[in-house]
Amino acid sequence: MPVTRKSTRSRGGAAAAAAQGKQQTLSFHHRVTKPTVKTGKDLIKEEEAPETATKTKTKDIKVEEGAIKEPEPSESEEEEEHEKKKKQPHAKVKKPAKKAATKHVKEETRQEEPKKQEKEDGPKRSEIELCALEIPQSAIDAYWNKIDSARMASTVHKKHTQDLTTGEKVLRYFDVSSHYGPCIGITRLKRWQRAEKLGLNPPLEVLAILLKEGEGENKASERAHMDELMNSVSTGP
Amino acid sequence: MVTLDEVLGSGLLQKPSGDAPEALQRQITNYKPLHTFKLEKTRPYQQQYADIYFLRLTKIRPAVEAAASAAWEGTVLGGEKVKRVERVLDVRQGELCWVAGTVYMDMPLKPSILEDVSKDRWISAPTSVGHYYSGNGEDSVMLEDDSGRIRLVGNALQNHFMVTGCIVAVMGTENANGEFEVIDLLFAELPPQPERWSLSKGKKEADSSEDVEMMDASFSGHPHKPSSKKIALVSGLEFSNADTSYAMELNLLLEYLLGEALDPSVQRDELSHITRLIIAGNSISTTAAEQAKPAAAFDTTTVTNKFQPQNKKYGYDSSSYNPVPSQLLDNFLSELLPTMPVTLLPGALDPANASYPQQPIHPAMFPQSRTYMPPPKAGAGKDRDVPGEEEPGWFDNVTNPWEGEIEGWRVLGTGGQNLDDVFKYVESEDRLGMMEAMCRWRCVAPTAPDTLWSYPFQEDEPFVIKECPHLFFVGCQPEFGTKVIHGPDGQAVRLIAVPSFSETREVVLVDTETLDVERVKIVAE
Repeated sequence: MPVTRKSTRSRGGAAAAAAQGKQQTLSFHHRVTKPTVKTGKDLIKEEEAPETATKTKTKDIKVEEGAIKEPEPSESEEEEEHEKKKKQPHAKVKKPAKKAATKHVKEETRQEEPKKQEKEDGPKRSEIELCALEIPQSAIDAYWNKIDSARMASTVHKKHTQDLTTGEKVLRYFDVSSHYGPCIGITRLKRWQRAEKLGLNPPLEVLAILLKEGEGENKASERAHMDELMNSVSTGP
Repeated sequence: MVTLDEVLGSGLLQKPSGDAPEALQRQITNYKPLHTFKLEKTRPYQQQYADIYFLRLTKIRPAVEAAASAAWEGTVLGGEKVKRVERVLDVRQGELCWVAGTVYMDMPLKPSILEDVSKDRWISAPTSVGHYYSGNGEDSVMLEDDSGRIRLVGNALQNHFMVTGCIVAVMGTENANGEFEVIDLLFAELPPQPERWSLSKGKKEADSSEDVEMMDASFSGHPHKPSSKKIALVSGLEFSNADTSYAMELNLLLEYLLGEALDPSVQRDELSHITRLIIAGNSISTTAAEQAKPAAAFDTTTVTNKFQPQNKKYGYDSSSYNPVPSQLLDNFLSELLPTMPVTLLPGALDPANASYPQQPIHPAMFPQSRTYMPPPKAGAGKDRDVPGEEEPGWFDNVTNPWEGEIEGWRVLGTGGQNLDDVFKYVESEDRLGMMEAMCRWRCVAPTAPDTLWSYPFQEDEPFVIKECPHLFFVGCQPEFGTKVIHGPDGQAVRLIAVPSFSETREVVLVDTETLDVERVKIVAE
């Protein structure tokens, strides 16, 4: 390395380089504002991002999997190998400008990601989630009607429950089932998974509703309603 | 003039004998720590403690109910058949039934956060009451589950230890006062015990072949001729600056463990057989703990200054910090470590977090002994949280409580806070009985989080003993005690109450083949 002189250092990089007769070097330290496809290094870092973020994304993908049925499977086999060599772009990267073809490609690769994640967790979890997603709305309604008819007293204050969807009613019933533990301080999905892990056999319909709600990034139904009531801060006069 | 040669013969002066002293070697014990009690560095504290009770009950309830139905199924008392009841609140008056739940002890002497808040009392540190047990009938035992609570009465309760947090099944009936009269009581009993060497099955053969290569011919590392290896257990070393009454004994302890004490025959036969040292808590003693001095400085920050003796900022008095105790501990360890691996559990007085489970003492406290620890893992911060499969270093600082496998035996050990807290709930002095009770309750710290500060576990509660250990030791006890307890499926657990060295000057040696216990007392005259 050439010996640096005090004068060179004090004058500053560009000026010094110019004084020395060298070319000005480019700096790669400022933020990239142009949207780009992330490379391998960034993807590895993002893959290690908190589980919950990827979990919601996996639900995201699973729903799409269920919805877009026929055209995908044939293409998926072809492109699977192709995609495996490429590093998967993270699900968060959304390019509205991209064409439908590339969107297909991305959905394929997004399929890869949850499969890869699930490999670590074991195939069982995705099976349960798949089973849960196959439950149609009619089954959920039937489940709710069964609970409702088992109650001896009919719902008196119907005005409070009129605005709630059946899904929300099922979720609230799940919240107050103390059999699965306290509902405060934990998200509904985590509570379901904890109950599942402890062998309490929580109803699959609840998972179905949670996954469907999670797809829309609906923060309101993430935690129990009671949690919000208990944590609400009232400001006095 | 007398020459040296003339004197030599007479025995007054002797040349140093040419032969070098026999270099003794220690054997290596198979050591595999488990990270059951390790917490993540980025753990959240937003959740409530109710989850701990739910997890504990859900995990132990199946075992308790199995034991109860095996014992009570078909029992007929007074013409009535015993029925199983699903929830605590389903108990009906006059009906003979049995139910399982968590015990809650309602004691007026127990520190209660609700009382403190309601009386508007600001206490910086918890006032440590000696005993919660009042003994005058004010204490009541209740059975609780997710539905509700019911008070338990009856003479059958006197025969067993009961503390908040243990899971029981009770049989009886509800009387006119709304209390549940207990006829019989059952615990979950000891959990299934794994076999010896269950965690390191494949390694056993590899190790024995290595032993043969590495050891001297004179030293038997042969697998079929076991030389008794011993593990040394000590606790309460309490290195301190102020109190030097046991400093001499600490020095002698070091020599003893190094194998430099006593004469060569004892060294060869006994001292070199000590293969590992486990320090079970309270290695450093703070000045505040030694001198329980009353109010010194006047604190103007709080209204009631009676309860804030020193000028505390951030909860500790920085002017009274003394680095000497940890330096002394570091010197002790760095002299010992070249010859013997050490496992260090933090205790109540050690610089680790105050709540259970205590995390390992940070390597920064041991600048000299740090070289014997594995280097910090390079990589992203998140990787560091994952307890890897890497080899533990020669110096292993571990959590309190701690679970691991030494020479195939499953070992569970704590620094003493759990037992001391259980001790406050019951009237008896039988600490070994309490240790036995903890094993039978399948819970290492049943009083957490009621009176023992604990982390609010949400996903999994590690205090539940899933697999029965072969050796259960508790450190920092006032006196030594040992017992072997047996379980219904043939489990056998050796219980050891390790005495505090600063009080008793005793070290405990455990034989790794038979799990027999020896007590060594170090006396300096």
